[in-house]
Amino acid sequence: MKWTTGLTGFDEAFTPDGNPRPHYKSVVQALGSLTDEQIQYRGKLHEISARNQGITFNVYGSDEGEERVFPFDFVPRIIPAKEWSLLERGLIQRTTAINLFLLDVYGEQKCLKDGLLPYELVLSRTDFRRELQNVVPPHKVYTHVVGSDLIRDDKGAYLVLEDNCRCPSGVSYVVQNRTALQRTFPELFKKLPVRPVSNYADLLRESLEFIAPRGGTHGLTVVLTPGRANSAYFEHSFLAREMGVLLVEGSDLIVEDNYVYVRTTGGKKPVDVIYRRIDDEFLDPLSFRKDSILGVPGLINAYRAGNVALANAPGAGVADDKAVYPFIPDIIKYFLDEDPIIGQVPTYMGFRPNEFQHILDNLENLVVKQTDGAGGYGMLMGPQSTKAEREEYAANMKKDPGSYIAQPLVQLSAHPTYLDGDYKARMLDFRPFVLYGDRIKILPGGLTRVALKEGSYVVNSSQGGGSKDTWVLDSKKKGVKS
Amino acid sequence: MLLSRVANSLYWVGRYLERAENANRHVVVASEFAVELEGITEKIAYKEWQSLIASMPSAKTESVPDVKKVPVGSDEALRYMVSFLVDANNPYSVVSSLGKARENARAVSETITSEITTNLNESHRQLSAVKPSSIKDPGIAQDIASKTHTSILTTLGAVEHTLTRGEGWNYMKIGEALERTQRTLFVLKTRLPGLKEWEKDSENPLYYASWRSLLRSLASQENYRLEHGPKFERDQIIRFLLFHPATPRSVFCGVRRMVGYLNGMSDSGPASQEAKRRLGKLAAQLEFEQDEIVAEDAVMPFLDHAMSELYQVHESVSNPMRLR
Repeated sequence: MKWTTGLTGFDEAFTPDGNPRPHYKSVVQALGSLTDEQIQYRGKLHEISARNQGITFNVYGSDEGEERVFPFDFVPRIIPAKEWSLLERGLIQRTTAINLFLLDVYGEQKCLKDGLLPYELVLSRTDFRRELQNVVPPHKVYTHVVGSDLIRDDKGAYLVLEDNCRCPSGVSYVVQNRTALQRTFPELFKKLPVRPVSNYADLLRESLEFIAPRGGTHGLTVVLTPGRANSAYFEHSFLAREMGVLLVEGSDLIVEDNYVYVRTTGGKKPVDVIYRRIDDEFLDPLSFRKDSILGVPGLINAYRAGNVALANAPGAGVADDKAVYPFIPDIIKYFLDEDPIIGQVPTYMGFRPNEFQHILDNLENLVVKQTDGAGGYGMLMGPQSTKAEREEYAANMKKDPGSYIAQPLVQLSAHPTYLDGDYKARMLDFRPFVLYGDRIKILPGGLTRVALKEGSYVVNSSQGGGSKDTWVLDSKKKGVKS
Repeated sequence: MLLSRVANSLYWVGRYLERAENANRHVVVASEFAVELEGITEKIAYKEWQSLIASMPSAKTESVPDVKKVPVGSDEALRYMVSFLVDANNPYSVVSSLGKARENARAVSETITSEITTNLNESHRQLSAVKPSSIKDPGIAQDIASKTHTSILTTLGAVEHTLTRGEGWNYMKIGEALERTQRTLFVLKTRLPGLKEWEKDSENPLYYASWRSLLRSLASQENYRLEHGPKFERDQIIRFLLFHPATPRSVFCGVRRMVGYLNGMSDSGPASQEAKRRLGKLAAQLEFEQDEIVAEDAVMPFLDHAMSELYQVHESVSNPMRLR
């Protein structure tokens, strides 16, 4: 078995001279002692176990069937304690600032009056919910669960690629990947103090119950799912089971006199907190999309009346809009008077005419994204595109310049990944999960997504990406140096 | 009419099947717990394996299996797994318990259904065919544990779906209920003292992992969460495992089941009356003296008391000489 290191970008596991970094030594050594046959046997066990447990995701429009197992690579990504401490501080700073920004945008709009961001840019976002202007969520928290996507540049510095402030998914894979790796490759854990991630549900429920109206003594906490056809349905049921709460669909809930109830065999039971995994626009046909059959009529009125808490708060999506992203460093400075601890990728905005022209002139060097796009769809990877693709994309851009942003192609960091009998360098990103309740807590781990195709930058599960277990090391034990 | 000998065998089929299922689950949970923590604290990870032995009913110091003799190399965790799964020399191993369940079932095969016999034989045959020395890696051990668990649950399903609810059924099920209830008591008794040191620091991941492991080893984690959510609190967990009327692993639920099975038996001799009296008293305590039982320093003495009472019940129900 050969180990190939990252050819151009930062290599997570190996130094430029080809030696394992100190925190990777024991894992490289342990994996080196396993035969190909042993590894394949364990991979097979994992696949069977994942299918039997229903750890699958649905691919919309796929011809291969509805359910797929999210490919899992057993070579763990390892983050030393010192690096994690920096990430933790940076994520707390970013989440705090984003939350203050949302409070302001839906309140006084002082930051807009001060010219921090253009009014028209913020108010024209599809995820800006004018229906919720001057509605303050419980305890002034909008972003109870945030999953910011991070990458590392060629020097190894972490950069935020985008924030996910609506319903970030993937945390169930974080917990399940750990369980799977412990079962199939227990020897890897012997030498390193890996911080557990299994208490995520505990942390999440604590954060959710903190926002319950009337101190949470009145009603239930529930997870609201669009249903089993949703791509993240496994995660919804996983979280409900792990938290010990009901998993409900819109039709299970009713609103009477601005109070929310769940229909049960024992009659109607009051609901205090809804961890909703439904997008804003489908939440309530009386307030948003009238054709939504997934939501609950009257829910937003109950929320406005302060009788139910929603996590994340509706309207939070405006903060993770790709057009707002370039302003986040300024938002941090404005609200906290601090410089950002974690950097981000330089971004050109179609909203500004001169920058739009720059994007058009340099399409072959840029990654262009639609501001409301997600999952790797609707984007143009300039350096990997053909002339015809660029021309077609540019024509669409011209119809609505404000809906596009562009970034230089950042070489993602690479990590050994087991493919066809060898450990090959593949590019990856990282989504840590931030919980905001009485204070901000960060799960010591996260979802590492890896592009399984050689040279590919697309890590999304729906487009051929896989995932890895992510280890955050404990600083106090065994003296592992970063 | 049921022969005393047959009743005794059915009782032991119920006990050993339950014991096999418990041991199998405990091996998997202990292995995962040890792997999760061994990088952080080897001492606690090792203790988890020791607790596996300590929580076996009737485990005595002199009969503790010597896992060092298991021929699978130097991996301590793998040796424990192999010993408790497939080592016939380990009296607490899954294969030993399945073997004893099978022997008892063979002695009374005319009274049980062919579905039970076939599944039990198949479970035992598959597991006993595995040579300890052939398990070279933990992945194989996990695979064996997973398949064995499915196989035992299939056998239990065959009992549930095919056996007449007659007197034989009552003997088999009282054996199962007694084994399961004892198991809960043993696990609490062996694990609670060790958990005390984490109670001051509920944010410590070890606190969480330790309680999770305890609940999972009793197949109660998901049921507990449905009742109390994901937060693990000592008092709540103890109350749940002792007093909950509906969760199948609680002591109260087990005792009530035993009373029901005893009432379904035709034997009304003094031994049976004595067992009913003890169980009735224990059930009343579990229902009406909950605060006294969980009061500071009262839990451990109660666990001892309950174990002693169940031992007497076992003596009354299982001894063929007392069965009329």
